[in-house]
Amino acid sequence: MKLHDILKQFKNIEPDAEFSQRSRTEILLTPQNARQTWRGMFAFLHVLETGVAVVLAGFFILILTGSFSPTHSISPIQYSVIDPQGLHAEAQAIDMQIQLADVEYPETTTTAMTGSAVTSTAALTKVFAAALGTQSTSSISTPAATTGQSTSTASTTPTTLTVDQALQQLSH
Amino acid sequence: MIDGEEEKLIRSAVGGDSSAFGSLYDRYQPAIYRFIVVKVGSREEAEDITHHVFLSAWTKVRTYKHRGHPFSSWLYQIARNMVIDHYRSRKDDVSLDKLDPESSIIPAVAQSDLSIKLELEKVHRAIKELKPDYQDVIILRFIEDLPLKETATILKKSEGAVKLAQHRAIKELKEKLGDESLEEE
Repeated sequence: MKLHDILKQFKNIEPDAEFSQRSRTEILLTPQNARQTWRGMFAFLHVLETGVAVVLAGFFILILTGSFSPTHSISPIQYSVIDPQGLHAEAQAIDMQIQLADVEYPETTTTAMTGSAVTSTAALTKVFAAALGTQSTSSISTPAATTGQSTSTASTTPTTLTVDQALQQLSH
Repeated sequence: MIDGEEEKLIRSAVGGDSSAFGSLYDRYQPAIYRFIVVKVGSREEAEDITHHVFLSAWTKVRTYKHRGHPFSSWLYQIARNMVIDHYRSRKDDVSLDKLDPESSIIPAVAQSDLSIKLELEKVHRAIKELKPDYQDVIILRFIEDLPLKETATILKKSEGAVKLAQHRAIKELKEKLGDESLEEE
């Protein structure tokens, strides 16, 4: 007997009729919609999951590349204020000159000078004069000179001395 | 090839018509059962798997897309996957020797002739020893007489690949049978 003929004999295999009828009835009584609904829900969740994954990936890529920083829009602190270069430029631009104007002894210039600022300036002048050890400085009047010439004190020409100049003189 | 009547039945079944699906069941259930029973070697297991194949087809039929292939191709594909799942989930491999003789798959017509019965059992045992792809080719091409094109569709292979598999399957089957009297046509 040829192999092909033997194989053809297998085509005579038939399922049990009772089984076929029972299975058919059972299958056709099974509702289709229940499974379809779940399938739809799973499909929707799958799409949602994919969408969320894409959005998160994009967000992290933006953060990693540095083109987006939440501090610009969220943080109340403006970091540009503490920009070191800006601060340096501002520091350079500040006029640090301190004028020592109308330096007079308080005893002789009480009438001419008013205000506590003048008094403190005079006191400062005393210190400078003592430190310099000179009485002939044109810019600062010494107590002795002013004592002897109390009337002319008021007419003494005030000289402006910057802090740098004063410190420079002190250093000599 | 798909005929007009079958196309109408498929369209109705896709629309949820249970009687149309019932007609498709009557038409294809025996072939699907044969395909499964030759592969698994047990009538009970084959009945269970066949039931699940058609149940799955019924619940999925709304998503069926007709691409010009016979409806049976789709059913065979479901059956193949279910048989694979069956073997994966099966913990112990039951040999043919351990099977209940009463549940033999050999058709009733051959039961009366002892020599034919023994021959069929021997061939079936040899088919079971083939790898799954070769089993599929033997069943579809030589037992069910399906055309090459449909077999290729079911197995998701090219027609050339099916031809090659068919040649190798028959050669290996003959080697396993070890009987030169089994001539090939």
